[in-house]
Amino acid sequence: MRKINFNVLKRLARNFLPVTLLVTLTACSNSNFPFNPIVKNKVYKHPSSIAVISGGEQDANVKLAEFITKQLAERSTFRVMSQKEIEKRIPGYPPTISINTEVKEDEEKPIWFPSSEKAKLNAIQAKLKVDYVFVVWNRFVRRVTVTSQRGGSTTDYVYPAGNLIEYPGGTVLASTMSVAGSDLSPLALFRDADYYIVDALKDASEDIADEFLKVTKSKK
Amino acid sequence: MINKLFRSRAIHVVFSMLVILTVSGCSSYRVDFSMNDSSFKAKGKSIAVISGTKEPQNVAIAKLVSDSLRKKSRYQVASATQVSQAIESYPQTIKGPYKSAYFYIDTDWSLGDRKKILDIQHSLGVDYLYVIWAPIALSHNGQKIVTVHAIAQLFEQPNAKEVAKTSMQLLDGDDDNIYLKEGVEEIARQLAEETKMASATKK
Repeated sequence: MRKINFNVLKRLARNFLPVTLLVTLTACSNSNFPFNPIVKNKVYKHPSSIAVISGGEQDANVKLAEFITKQLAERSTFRVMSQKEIEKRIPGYPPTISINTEVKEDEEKPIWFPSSEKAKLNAIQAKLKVDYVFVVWNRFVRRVTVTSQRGGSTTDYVYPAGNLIEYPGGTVLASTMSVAGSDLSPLALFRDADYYIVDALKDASEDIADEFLKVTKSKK
Repeated sequence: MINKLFRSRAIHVVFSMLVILTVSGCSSYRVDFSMNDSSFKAKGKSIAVISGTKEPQNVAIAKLVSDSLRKKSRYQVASATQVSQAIESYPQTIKGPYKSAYFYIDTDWSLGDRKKILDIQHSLGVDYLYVIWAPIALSHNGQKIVTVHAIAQLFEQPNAKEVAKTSMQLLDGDDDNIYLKEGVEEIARQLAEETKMASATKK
């Protein structure tokens, strides 16, 4: 039988146990599918219009929709409706579209909204009259601090979700389940409270747009 | 050797963290209600408690505070029916007194949509309007129970002058909703007592 070297165990415990504990406590999720086609080999209409809809009114949802809109407007051949125009056409925007919290973390192509919410999305599309509706949420935010004797770091994470729906018909064509993070620097003391979360949301939006352009073949 | 391991710094760190978590888990709410003027005297008895967002959790908290305040105070509290009849498409989003809300609410009490609040107060025709914003629900390690971060402002007629504010953290998501009930009872208690409208008989 192999002899256990307690010195090694002790050293490992001293250096890494605090790290392990913190990471475990925050239960990280690492699924990263920024824009995954559900319908394979789909040919997207060009030119066509799209609106990115925030699925809820919490800050992270609204910002995510704003950033994806900006990315797609700058980089894709779609006619992208501005958030301002969406607000004008939909009273009380952003809406509250329920998100299915039962989706498993390893699911690659989830449909995030329960079927009971489809009517809300159809009503939104009817007012916007766009070919595609991309509904997005940020599922949650997470701050992870890792400490060890060699120092430590803190990262803010965001966890976007979304579905692209085609009209007429309301077929769900693609799905987003992603994650992005932004490391806090010593400058955090002098920055706005939301600086790093907003930064992570920008990164996530860029990733989503990268994949969106590839899947829809709509790069400018 | 094992004794040495148990004396190691890592074990001390782990033990300290467990103690902190246990201690911090003792209280199910934190409510800080503060009057802008300590000599405040209510100029009327009617009040409405409303949600500042459309989030179902926020709407539920406003309703529970409203119900509790009816029992604990001498206020004439507007019913949920009165609120939804007076405010078109209630609940609706009212810009709140904060810059951002992610891990905590970055409060700036000077912000917020005062015009909308004034309109709502006029529609309801109440002397006081208590608006609660609960924009954050943080889950810990994917647990069912979440910490709700919320703030509120109390406005007085005729110009929707802010007379008090509240910062709070409540727990929600336990099976019998006991944590949330405890939290909202405390909000109602402080609102009634601080505005000197607590009922002597009703508890």
